Amino acid sequence: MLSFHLLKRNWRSGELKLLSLSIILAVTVLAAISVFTSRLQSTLINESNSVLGADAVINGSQLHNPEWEALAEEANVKHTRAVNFASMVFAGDEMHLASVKAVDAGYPLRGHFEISKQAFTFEASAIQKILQGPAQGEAWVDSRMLPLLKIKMGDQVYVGELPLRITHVLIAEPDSSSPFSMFGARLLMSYQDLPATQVIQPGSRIEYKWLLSSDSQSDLQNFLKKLKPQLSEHQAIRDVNDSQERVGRTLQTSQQFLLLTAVIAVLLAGVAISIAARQFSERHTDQVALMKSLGASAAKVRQLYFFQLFILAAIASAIGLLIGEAMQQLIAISVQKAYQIRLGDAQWLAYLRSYASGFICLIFFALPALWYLPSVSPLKFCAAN
Amino acid sequence: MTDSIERPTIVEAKAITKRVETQEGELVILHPVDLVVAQGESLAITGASGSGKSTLLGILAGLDLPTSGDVIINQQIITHMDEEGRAKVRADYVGFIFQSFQLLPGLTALENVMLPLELRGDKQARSKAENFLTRVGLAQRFQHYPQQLSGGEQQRVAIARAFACEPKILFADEPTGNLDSHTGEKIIELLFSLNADQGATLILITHEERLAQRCQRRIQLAAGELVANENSATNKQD
Repeated sequence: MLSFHLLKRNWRSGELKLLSLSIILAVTVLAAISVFTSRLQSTLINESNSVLGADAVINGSQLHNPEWEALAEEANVKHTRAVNFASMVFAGDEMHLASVKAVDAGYPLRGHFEISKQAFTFEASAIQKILQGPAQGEAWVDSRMLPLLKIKMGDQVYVGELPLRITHVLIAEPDSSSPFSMFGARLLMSYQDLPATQVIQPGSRIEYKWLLSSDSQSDLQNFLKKLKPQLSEHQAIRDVNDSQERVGRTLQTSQQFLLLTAVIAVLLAGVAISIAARQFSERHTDQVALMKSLGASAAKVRQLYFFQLFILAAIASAIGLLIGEAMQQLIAISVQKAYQIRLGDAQWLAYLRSYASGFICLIFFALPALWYLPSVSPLKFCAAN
Repeated sequence: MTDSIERPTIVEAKAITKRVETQEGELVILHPVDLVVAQGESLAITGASGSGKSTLLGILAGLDLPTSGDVIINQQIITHMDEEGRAKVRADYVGFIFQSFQLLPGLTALENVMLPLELRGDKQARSKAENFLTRVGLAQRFQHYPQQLSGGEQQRVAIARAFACEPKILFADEPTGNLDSHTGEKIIELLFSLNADQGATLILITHEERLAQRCQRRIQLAAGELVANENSATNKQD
């Protein structure tokens, strides 16, 4: 209780402000970065399971051999197909080079679509999870395509010769990576509608995907083993491991970059903590000498100061955590808007780590300066000393 | 042990010496000093600068250890104790008044007086501090910071702080040393008036003759030796 009183008095006299601001800064930066990174990680991990939309995919610039379908069924392996290409999409006088994906019945084999009737929404209540793609004659598009083409929900767009009605906006999809995704907004349509568009011509740049999955991983692996020798040089097998590895590498690189930034910020805050602690310590030499002359033992002084710093670290770290959380929310909102993704939840460990960083900073940067305080001599005020 | 008027001994020094090593060799600050102070007595320690007064006071108060000899406070040999033990004795029996007041600048007058009471875990710290500040005439100054008070007022706060813990022994190191003559006179009056109420033993260092004369006894140090130990001729203590 006395520690709390002393803390209040020291705070009022302004001696703790620099120290607490430094702790708040360190925790804020770490919380913002590590919580955001954790959300990114959880998003990528969640999505890596459905990143392929299947257990394995035969990717290539050529359509798979239709005879393989019978072999797959014999091997107890489910299959479906999808096609990615870039194409101009028209609505009246407006046009946009879209990244089109046509998906067959049964797509996706793993994961699900998230669609909505409302553009640019992240509200869970407005988002519908669905296990199959658009019906014939329908198209689902990225929210941003609506303003780009100056259209609204229910309007028609043309993909080649085929008019399609926009029935939903696409919030999330499995297997969203495609070499064409850089071209523009996504348009998802039915595979059955593809011939009517007449956009696929000899020489067109197309990515064909034959998606495979099985309840038995050994069945799938045996089938892939048999299939491998039959693949052309334009076809390759991708599975979840490849995907996770790639995601993992990307995540690790971005994490390292962000954490390096955080470490630099924390080190700077640490220097500030160290300077503030030294000032605090110098100013408190007299106070400690007085307390000891009044009968406080070194142990009592140590306990009083450590409790003060503990309370200070607890409060400053909590404030830092709140500000850091607000900052990462702002970053997340910007990222979600810019990239049309929904970020997952952060792990509680990220919050705990950030909160603990305030104490760790204090221990490493402030304790050395404060350690000698309890050993200040009570003789300090005697003239002969 | 008791003195000539049968009061129990509260502080006793037995052949205490203090020597320190310097680059020029050993420096003797205190030659063997024997001293007995009775409970409720007031004692002035006088002497020229560098005569060892403050060293003797620090040792008697348990702030410092002698090189040899023993100090006994209320029948406890504090020179045989570790720092924790001596801190406890200080907390239980001792109060201080310093020449430079030593008020903490970040604390109000009230909080400065409350501090030693809080360190002892006294639940009545606030009311006791208010009471003593009122007694030293600072009832209107509770929330003032030391820098908002005059030198005399600061010393009054320091006196209130020293008496608030109701110590058995009060050590004062030049309590009027930083004050002008008029203010010093008032502080002396206040000190002895409160001491008369409390019945504490007062051991003080002073250069001021009028302050020394207010004490029942005075000892004089010269170059670390006790050269005089006499009752005051004009004892005016109440």
